[in-house]
Amino acid sequence: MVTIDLAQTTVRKVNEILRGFGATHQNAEIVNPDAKHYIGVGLVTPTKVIIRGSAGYYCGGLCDGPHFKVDKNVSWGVGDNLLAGSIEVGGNAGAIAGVGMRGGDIVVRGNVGSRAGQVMKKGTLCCAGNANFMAGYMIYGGRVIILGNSGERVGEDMMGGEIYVGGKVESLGNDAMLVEPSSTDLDSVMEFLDRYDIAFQGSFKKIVCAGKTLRYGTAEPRLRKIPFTTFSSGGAEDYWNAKVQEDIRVKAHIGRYRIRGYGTSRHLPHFQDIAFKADLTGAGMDPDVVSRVNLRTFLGEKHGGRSLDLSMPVMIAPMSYGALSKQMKLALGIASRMSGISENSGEGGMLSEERAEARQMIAQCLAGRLGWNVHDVKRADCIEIYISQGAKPGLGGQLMAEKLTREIAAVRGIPAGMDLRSPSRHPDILGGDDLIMKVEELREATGWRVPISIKLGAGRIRDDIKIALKDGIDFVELDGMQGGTGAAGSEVAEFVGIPTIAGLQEAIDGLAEIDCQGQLPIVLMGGVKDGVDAAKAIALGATAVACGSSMLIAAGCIACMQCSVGSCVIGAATQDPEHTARFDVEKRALQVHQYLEAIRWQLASIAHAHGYSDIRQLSRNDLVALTPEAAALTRLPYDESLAGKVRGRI
Amino acid sequence: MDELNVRAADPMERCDEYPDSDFIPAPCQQGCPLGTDIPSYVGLIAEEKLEAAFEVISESNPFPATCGRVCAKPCETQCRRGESDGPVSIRSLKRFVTEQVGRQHRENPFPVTRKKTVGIVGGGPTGLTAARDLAEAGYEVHLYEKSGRLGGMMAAGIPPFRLPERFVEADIERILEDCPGIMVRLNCALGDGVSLDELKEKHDAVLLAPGLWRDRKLGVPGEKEGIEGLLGIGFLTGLNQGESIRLEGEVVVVGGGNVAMDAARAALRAGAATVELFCLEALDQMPAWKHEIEEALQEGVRINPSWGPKEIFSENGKLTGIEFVRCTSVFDAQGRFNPEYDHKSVLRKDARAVLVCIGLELENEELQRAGLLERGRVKADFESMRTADPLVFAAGDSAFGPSAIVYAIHHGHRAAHYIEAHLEGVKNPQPYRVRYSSRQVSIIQDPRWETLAREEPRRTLSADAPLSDECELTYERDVAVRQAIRCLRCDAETGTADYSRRTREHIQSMARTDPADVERQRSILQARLKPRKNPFPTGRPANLDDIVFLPAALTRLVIDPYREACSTSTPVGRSLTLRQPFLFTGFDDAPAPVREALALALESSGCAYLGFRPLGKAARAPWLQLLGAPDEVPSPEASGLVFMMGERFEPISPSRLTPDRLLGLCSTGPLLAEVIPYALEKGFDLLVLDGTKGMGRAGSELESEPDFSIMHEAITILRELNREEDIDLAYFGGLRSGTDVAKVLARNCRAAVFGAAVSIAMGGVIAGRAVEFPEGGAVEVDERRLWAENWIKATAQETAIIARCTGKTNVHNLEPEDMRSITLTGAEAMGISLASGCAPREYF
Repeated sequence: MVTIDLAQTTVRKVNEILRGFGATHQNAEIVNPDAKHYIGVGLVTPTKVIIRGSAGYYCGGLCDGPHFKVDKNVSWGVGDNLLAGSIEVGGNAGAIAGVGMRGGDIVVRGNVGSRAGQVMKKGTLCCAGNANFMAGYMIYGGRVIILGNSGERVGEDMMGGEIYVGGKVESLGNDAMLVEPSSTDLDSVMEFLDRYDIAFQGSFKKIVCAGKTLRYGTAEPRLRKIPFTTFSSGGAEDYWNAKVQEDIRVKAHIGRYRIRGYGTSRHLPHFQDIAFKADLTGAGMDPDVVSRVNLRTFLGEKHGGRSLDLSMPVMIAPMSYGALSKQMKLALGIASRMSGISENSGEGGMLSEERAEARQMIAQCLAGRLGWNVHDVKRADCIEIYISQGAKPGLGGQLMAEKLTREIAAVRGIPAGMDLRSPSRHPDILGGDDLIMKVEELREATGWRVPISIKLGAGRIRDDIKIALKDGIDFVELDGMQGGTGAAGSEVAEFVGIPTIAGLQEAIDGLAEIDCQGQLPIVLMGGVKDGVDAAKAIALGATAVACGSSMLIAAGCIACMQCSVGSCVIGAATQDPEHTARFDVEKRALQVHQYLEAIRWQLASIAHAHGYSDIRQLSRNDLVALTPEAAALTRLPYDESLAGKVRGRI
Repeated sequence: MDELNVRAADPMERCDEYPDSDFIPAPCQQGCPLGTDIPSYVGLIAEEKLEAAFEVISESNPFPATCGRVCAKPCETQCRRGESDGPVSIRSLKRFVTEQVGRQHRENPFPVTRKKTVGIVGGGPTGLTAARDLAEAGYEVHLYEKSGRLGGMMAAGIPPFRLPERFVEADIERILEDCPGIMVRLNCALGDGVSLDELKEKHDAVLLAPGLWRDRKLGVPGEKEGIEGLLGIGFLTGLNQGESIRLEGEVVVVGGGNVAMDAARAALRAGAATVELFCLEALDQMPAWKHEIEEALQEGVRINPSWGPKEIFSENGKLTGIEFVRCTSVFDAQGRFNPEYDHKSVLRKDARAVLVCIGLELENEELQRAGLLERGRVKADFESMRTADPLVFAAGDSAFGPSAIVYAIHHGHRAAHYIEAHLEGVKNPQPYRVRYSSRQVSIIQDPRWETLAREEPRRTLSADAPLSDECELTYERDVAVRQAIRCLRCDAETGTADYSRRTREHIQSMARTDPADVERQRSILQARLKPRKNPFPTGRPANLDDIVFLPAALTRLVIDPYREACSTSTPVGRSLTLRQPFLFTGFDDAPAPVREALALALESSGCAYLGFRPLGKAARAPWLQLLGAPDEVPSPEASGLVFMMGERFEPISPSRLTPDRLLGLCSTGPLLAEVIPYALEKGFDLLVLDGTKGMGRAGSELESEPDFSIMHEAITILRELNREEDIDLAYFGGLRSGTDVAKVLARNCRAAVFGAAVSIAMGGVIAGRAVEFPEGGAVEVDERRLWAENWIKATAQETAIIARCTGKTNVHNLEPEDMRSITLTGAEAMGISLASGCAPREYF
């Protein structure tokens, strides 16, 4: 046992030491902890750590295996995402104790704050005192034992797991119900209490999920497609068009809002409404144009992490294993490696096979912490904190039961077969000040090694980006409302958020307003389809772009927009083996790769035709707006004469 | 003919030619050298509209029955479903259609309308296609055929077990009946029955399409004319003419193309004990199609690749065997035919017959004399189909080398295009382009389409069968329909304007283009650089769809509980509280059962009805009585009274029967300046803003685009009076969804009034300016009530979910600041800022 005096050093240093001790099976005692944050974050060895005093935020967060004993109190998020091991707290714990835990034991001998065990999946969280409101909030599995009183709305929106209350059940949460505990249940609980020397004389009440809201009711009728030929835009005849009527009739049938895949379907001001001033008819005449223009892009070195090294300013947008089949994810991983860019896990955990294929992999951290774990964090090349996305900003992810197979559920650590609606808000990021704490926890967990980015759906981006800048984010992934998804309420996909070009303009304006132009790289996504769009985005001020829907189309997606149904004809957005059998990983990977290479060729050709040797030489001065809307949204000069004509043929 | 010659010109470029700028032919259609509208005919087969399907097929293809059996099917190679679980079986589907309706299908005959005439040499697919095109254009066409029948190699060279003669005959018969202007002279060869000079004299243009008929020689020792058992194309043509050619013992076939496969299979049927096929190429380089090779193998043909003939052996004029030498490579580094041999490796085969199928040549002294030949072909320019002689055109195998039928047909179309231009005196004709069109056939809704597997037509591969027994059978009807349903329908528009069909095809072209194919990369880039038509042209009316919501993220907190919980409870005026912010109107003249169903639904959903009369005597949902004319009497049953303003503002003297009775006014835009101060003065509870041309009239929502600016006008007036909170606003006109309601609420209204939308939900059908209920009494009241309840529930969910996205837990907390406009018109009409307007913010 080695003693470390936290008064003499920093938490960052202590965590490095603990990791080193872990490797040599040494235990440690920490004195003078002074309620500092992040003590012991990211330990993956069965080290024993005794903290002589109180710890701050995220004590023992993102760990697998260690045993912590804290003499006094801990602040919020103790044992965040614990995979195995134990944490014993002698005093009280703050809010969200055991948030997102996936195994191991957390024992708090005093009281716990609100939302104890939020989104936990496995393991046991035990509170010997009283719990505050919403204990067991949205738990997917695992066991919460409260010896004292439950607090208000215990088990709110729980989807699995079990909660034992020894004291008073103050009120039950939505979709929670009381059942009689079995003797096996009680034996197991008592065995746990004995193990931690906790005496209890009373009787337990057991709370489980009532299961009334796990599934949507009637399924939507299966339709092959929703043609867009008309929108409610061209006069009275078009106003009540077939699509409007279809929506009304389907809702009358199913009694709930409609769900579909893809992003906004109607017309929005977009990149096609912007043109390059230069005559590009001769673009790409140089057979070796790709080697004439520097496209290589580094992202994320701002806070000392090892940046992503992209062969061109293009990334693959986050799309989950779950929304997509394993085969499609593999194809994306392979293509990203072949083209020297990055792939992204999306929500729901990192697929090991894909991690192996992709050279650079971004791990996405979402509110439900589905599949989230310290090992994926450590093997990621970048961490992306998802705040919201373009297709359904302000809401969480959705995965219909048809696609939440046992395998997917196992990766995510949740029960199979429900219509999964992920939480809309992180348990521990309620606003800008919590965000900064979360960023630091992740930096500790990764040893300050990788960049940390944030994904934002375009909305109040002018202000949001200022928060991101101040919270120590390395880069922002900005998703306009054209951004696609595997499942979203169709009205939300259609009408919430602002167009991609408007989002970018707002972000750039926001940074300019606080004199921080160019200080926070922006990766723009949301309907970026080719090198032309990418070049325009970069000229407007984006550092890079990311493509999602177009990657799937490159792999054969026919844009039927029925991704949520789970019977994708090409086997990309499905988990059904009968359907994935139609997906040829190698062939599709090559197609995605060729698509990316075409983007590279286009980027290089456009820059070269302007006489530039670096893609970053493109600027707003090279662009004009072709429509009054595009001009108003981007403040580019409006040149009507170019509209409807191919540049250079005028 | 090099197949690349007819590789579809770049579709990226061709979009210009079509009025619909989004048009881009489907991949299969691009693969077909005739541009056949394949997705449409496949779609029609799925709907079992076979007659229509046949019309689609025969429009570009004069030989549907023939191609249905033996087409090279370049379309299937392009089929996108081929990238997953096998292409749609397009050829077999075509065969099915022609079998079902081909024989009886006839067009109205095309009469001769022109004076000029054309002479065509050769009655094969090229000559007949050109003849049909020219005859359809009104010219008289004289067809000179060397043999005793039309059809060329289609009829003479393809063995009957693959293509029975009657199908070629049927196709030709149809052409000749449709085109009485085609005069056929059989047994009239160029240089024998007729001379080139005669043709040039008699006709205004001449097309040479005689085909290739003479065997190429092996050029090895021992090869002599007249050896018994040494055969060539004559073996197949002889069989097809009904000659009884019997083979016996061991038979060797030399050649690796489709003709060799046919010959080998025919040889088995003609009595050969064994058939061994030898070819120069390695197995994967053989020019024969894969399925032809497979079928030959299955029937028992033994294939020996990579052997070149070395010597023929015969005794007493009878063939005894053939010797081969190992071929190590066929093409040199430049890709030229230049075989290399390993002379140490030699194989001797005894054989009673050797069938030489290594290609055919042109033989015509007349053309030789006229100086039109070069290296055994008629010398012609593919871009004009002209020969050195200004009156003479050439096409088909004799000009461009051996190829498949579908390419020969392409040649015929191409030649006819240039000949027609020539006849009309056009000096520099437009280059020939394959004509693409789409009939935009609807997509059949069959949920099996994703998983249905490709089914091959049944084959009877048996060399013991008679020569005339077809080796492949036509699909049964149910199989054909299943196969047609498999089509991905790449021709059909997608459900999203952002990834339209054209964009999708562009992305997929990028994904299928070799990064080093610079020429193609360039054409894709040019296509992608093309701007679109402005979807928001000036003068377009403002639309609710131009308004979007700003979601919560960091600066506005995201709402926590993830379920759809969000308050929709709606107090209106002094006495009314609705569970949802919805009022309903426009059912005064609806059929009684519909009114009854709505009444029940409104009661269970906690909404109110706004109408001239109550929904029913027993209806318990609150009724706000509309009063249009001054003489109308307020009803004691009504929970409130809403007075309608006519075209002019007229003061009303309202009186409440009970103190808690709600009073309202309904007004269109132009009257607001007078109505609002009056309503405030008189203490009205509710002002219904009518965005139509008169809410009281049935179908007012359907007759014109709604005027949403009325909400902005009303709030502007109230704000000027500083009395925003003093009256509840409701909006009527063109509301379709919960999102529309959210916009109305955010634009300062308390409630939304639905009319047409709920009628549609309840089974109504838009007919002109009215919604009708065609099922009438056929739908139970309870079922219709359920539709209305479901729709109200779903619509309320939509409103709530939008509110939640913006960070609100009560729909009435939506405010104008939660909205942005994506268009200038929308911004102006609704008084909402642009999505990224230029107004800077303060440092925060």
